[in-house]
Amino acid sequence: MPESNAIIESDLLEKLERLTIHWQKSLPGLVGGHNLSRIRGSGQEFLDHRHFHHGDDLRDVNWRAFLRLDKLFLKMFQLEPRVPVRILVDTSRSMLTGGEDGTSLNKFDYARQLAAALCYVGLIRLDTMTIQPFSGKMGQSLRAGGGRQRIQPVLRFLEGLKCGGQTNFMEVTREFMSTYEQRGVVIVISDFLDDADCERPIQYLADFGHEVFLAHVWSEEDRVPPWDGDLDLEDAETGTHLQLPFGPDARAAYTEAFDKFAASIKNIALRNGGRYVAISTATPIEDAVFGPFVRMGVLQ
Amino acid sequence: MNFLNLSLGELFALAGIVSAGIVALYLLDRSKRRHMVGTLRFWVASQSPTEFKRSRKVQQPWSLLLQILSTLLLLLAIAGPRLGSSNGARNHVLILDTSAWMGARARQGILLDQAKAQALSFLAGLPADDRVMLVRADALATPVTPFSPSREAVIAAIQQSQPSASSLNLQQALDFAEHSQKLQTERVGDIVFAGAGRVSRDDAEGIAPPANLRLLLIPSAGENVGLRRFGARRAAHEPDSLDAFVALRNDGARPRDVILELSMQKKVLASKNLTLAPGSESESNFLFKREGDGPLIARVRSANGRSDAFPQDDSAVLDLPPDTRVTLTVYTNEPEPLRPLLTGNPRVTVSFVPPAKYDAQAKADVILFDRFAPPSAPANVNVIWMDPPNGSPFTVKAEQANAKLQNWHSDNPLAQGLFTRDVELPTAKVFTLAQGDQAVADIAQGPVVVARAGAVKMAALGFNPVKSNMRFELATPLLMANILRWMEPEAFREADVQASTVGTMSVALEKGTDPNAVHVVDGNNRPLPFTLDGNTLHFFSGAPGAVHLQSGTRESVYSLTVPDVAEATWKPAASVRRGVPGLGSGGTSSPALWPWLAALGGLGFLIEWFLYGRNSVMRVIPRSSARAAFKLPWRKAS
Repeated sequence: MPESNAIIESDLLEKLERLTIHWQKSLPGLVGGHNLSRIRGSGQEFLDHRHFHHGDDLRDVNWRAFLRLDKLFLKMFQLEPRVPVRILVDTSRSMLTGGEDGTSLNKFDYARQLAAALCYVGLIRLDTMTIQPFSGKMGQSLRAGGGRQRIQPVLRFLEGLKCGGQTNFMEVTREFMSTYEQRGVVIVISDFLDDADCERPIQYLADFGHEVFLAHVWSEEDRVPPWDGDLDLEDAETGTHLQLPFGPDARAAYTEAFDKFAASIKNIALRNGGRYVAISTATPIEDAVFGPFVRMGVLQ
Repeated sequence: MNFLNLSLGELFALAGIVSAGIVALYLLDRSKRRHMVGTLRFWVASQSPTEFKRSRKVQQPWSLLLQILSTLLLLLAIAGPRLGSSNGARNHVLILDTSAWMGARARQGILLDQAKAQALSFLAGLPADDRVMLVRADALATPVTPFSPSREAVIAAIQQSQPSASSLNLQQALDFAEHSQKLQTERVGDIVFAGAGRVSRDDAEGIAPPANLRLLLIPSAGENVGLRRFGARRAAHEPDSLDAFVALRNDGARPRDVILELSMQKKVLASKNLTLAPGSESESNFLFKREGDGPLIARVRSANGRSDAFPQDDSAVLDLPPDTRVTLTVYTNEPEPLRPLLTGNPRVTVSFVPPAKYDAQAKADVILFDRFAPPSAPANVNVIWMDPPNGSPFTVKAEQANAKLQNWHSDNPLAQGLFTRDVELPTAKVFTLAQGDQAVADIAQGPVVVARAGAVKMAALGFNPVKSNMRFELATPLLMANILRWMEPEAFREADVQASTVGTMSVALEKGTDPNAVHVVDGNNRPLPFTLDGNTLHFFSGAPGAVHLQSGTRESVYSLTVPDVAEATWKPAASVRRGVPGLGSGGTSSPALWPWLAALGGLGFLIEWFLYGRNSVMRVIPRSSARAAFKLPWRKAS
């Protein structure tokens, strides 16, 4: 049993042991995984028959059918590949906002807890997990696999992450696709606040063949700012200032704009066969994992 | 209502200022606040022209209104309003006259006893919940008790009051009473003055009685003649005599025949019969022979033998400084030429002794050796060497015939006031200056008059002034006087002694007095603070006693023991209320409203905080509803 850690509690880790990261796409990989694939290979589960062709492996011939029908049929089996799961953790400065009232975590701490929980679930099922921090570029990553005992290096790695920089999804996506050529599951934990467009990079990831899970982390004041009156706002990433008056009507318009933005992220995920989970930092991490993540089928 | 005893207009003005402050704070509170946000894109999208227009107005008028209303309620609570009639607990200030004149004899006891009785009558007539502050008034207004409903403390303080030595400063006491009442929130009661109202003539004209003044006046006692000032100094030309000065004043309404006597050691030294007109002041000077040391007493008594109303000012005592003189022993074979030079100073006792009868143990303050050097020098005695032969402690460098005196070192105290030049000396010895020697006078070849300071002071003259043309010059006796003054400054210090009244003293100093050389000490030799305004020195002594003022060669002793009796009686306007009011005339108290107003004000602030505070329900949308609103469109989309 892993020790209790500042990032994640041991009680939660115990509960996470019954979960599995589930993906829908048939992804290539070495045998030994837990998700069935429509890709033919040397698996255990029967898939179909086909006519024998010259060069096929005689061990796969269905000899019973040959004796009865006097024709050679070849048995095909489903592959259970070991698919790499990559968790992209947003470490841009915007992730530090929120949680100033002390009642909840800021988005960065929340994302680290979420990443730890998902990584532990993957390690339990012997998936190969990669934690990839990013902001304007990809940072130093950590690859882990081989069971629950490998969670401690992951937690230490997550604890050591620092926030900084400006989000650039397009640059990060390019770098990601050139670094990781094998298709797999990509879990993006971010607030998706990129002044440039973040929809196209997500689209690229999906088009490349990855199965994309988007975990949209937001703080309460990201969606419903509690302030009134004349405000002097500073963009956490760019340092740009904006002075404006703010009231109930403006708050409603703000929330509407935020909801539109979240809906657009959700649409891009769903349109490409991915999944989208929106979590407020006010939601306890256990409720988030066993709530939206299970409901959306990311975890089973 | 008694909001710090402000008028209604002042109260409204204060409320207006506080309200303006609240509005300013409100606008400041609602002004630009800096926040760091993840992105600005949604903020830009939230803005519309109508929203911008609204921002320049007060956004939460009800919040502002609640704040102002709550503040006004709290102000009203501080004002202390009451239900019903305006009768309620009041704050009275009882001013008890404890000036010197209150020690004057009355038919029974002294005037202060009558004032105490009046004050106690006033206290007895007050409602039980009225509060009283007792102030003792003489030259200073001194509060004895705070505003208190406890009669026991006030009565005890009244009964412990005693006449002081100073006169009454009534205006100061009235101002203090008014100010004290204004600082209280309760209703203003009376300012009651119990006393004779004897004030200085200048003050009597300018006293402005407050509207709530009540007088418990004590009729002034009858006839009195007293000492007002008394001083003495050593007569300038007769060291055995004193020059005394006495001022008397008749405070009564009839002419008085009095006898003024000066005595020392129970012996009358001088006396004078005087007739003083009513209200007049008489000044008398006496020149009399001083007989020994001791206090000098001035006493005035009635010619017909009857004592007057205020015997405390019938006598005054001066502690005269001891009569010090310098004994000068002159060892010379020719005393006659020196006699007129040295015996002219009455403070110097001179004895001429031939050198053959020299006694090293003989007692003297100063010894003068005229052309004589003793085999053994005297110990602990100041010495003047005149034309010293070999054997003196001064080294003679040369002897010059027909020398001309050229220069006096005016920075040296021995040469002060000496300007004689070009006097031809038949012969003069020029000295070599040793360490610590100071040249006083020079000829062309060097110093001929030298001073040597130290535990024992010495001076050497390289010539015999009475055997040269110097004997015709004024510089010769001045030089000897300077030498003796330098050697024995205490004996030559001008001393004058004055008896005066307690309080502030102003003394005119000599022109050019060094401020650093001025010292003022009391009878216990403790320094007293003083100020110097040009050549006038001011100091204050609140208690009877002696004060010594030293300035250079002058010492003045002020014996502040004469009671300060004011010369006039205040005559207030007829409209000022007089006498003890009836029993319980203050009425009964009515219920106070301030707790309710304070509670309402606090409740207003609480409601404002709950509705419009930073974490209030009106400013932040509940989290649960926000989450529900957030989830709804996504479910539809999925």
